[in-house]
Amino acid sequence: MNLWLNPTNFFSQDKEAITNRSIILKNIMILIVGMFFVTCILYQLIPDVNNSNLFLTFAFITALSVPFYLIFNFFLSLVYLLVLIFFHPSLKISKFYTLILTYNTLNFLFSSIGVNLLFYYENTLTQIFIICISLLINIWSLRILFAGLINFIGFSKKVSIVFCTTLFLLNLLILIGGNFLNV
Amino acid sequence: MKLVTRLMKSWGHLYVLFFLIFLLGVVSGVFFHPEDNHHFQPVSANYMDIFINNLKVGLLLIFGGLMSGGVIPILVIGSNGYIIGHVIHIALTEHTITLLFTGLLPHMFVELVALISCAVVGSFSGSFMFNYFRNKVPKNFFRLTLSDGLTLFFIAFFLLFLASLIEDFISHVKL
Repeated sequence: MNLWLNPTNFFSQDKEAITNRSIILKNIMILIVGMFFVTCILYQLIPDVNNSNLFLTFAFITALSVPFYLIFNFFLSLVYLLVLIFFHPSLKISKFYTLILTYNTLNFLFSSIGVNLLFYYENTLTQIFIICISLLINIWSLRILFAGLINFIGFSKKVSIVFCTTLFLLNLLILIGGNFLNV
Repeated sequence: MKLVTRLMKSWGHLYVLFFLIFLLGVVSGVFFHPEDNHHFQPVSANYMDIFINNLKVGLLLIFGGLMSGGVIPILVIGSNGYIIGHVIHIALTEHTITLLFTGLLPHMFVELVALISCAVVGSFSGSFMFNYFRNKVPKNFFRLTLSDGLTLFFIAFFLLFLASLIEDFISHVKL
């Protein structure tokens, strides 16, 4: 829990105490929970799925999507690294990948919950509430990313701020743009 | 021969795994099948069409597998086994078991080895993840998988072409 609630303290621990493997496993747990909500979204979207067993559909989606999500995030982190590698030539790709995965997983979990809520309560108030919560979650996950970039990888404060701000603006664009598309 | 031995030593366990999944599919196809009546409806096809169709499946196994950590190859190989199991069931109920020997068996093993080779290449990412969580990733894993993956792909390509030739010119179904 320290990873999400107190990231600065978590990443400031002894380097041998925190391993990539343990962080990825924690993220997989969160992803599995997120996949349950994705299954619920699928149940809302495709009426034919309602005839199938909920647990089997959940297991199928989890088995198919969790590895895909992990691999997709690896490629995404490589894209970010194309620029960031110039600021820290000796950085370990695996550490950066772990951080990007942590950032995206948290956003993914709350987005899936948000979409579920939108399906259940289709009104403008819920929509505004979900946008506000999404922004807060985004800031929360950026805080984890920021603490990790400085304490876990070793980027300078300046580079970390610029990177986190860029990601925030990108997410803001997607969130607001997606909302307009929805309307 | 040396190359095949090395490949089998490195990836033999995945070949066995996919073969078992295929067998599981065959068994489930024979015993658990829809109740509606199906009959053999053989369609004539050119060897090039067969080859292109199988190559598409092979590429799906490779790229889908690499992106899904080996889950898509498990599903595709399992469903292939299920279809063959279903064909065996129809042949058994219609007493046309000889059709299996003349129409399916000549090319089946060559095609199966080729498709399983593609599935093995597709499950490299899953294999990496599995080894990563067991903390047993070999030092030269990426170099090894790249060279082995290309070799297995070319072997699969050749076997698929051979299988399509056998399917067109040797395998036949006379109802």
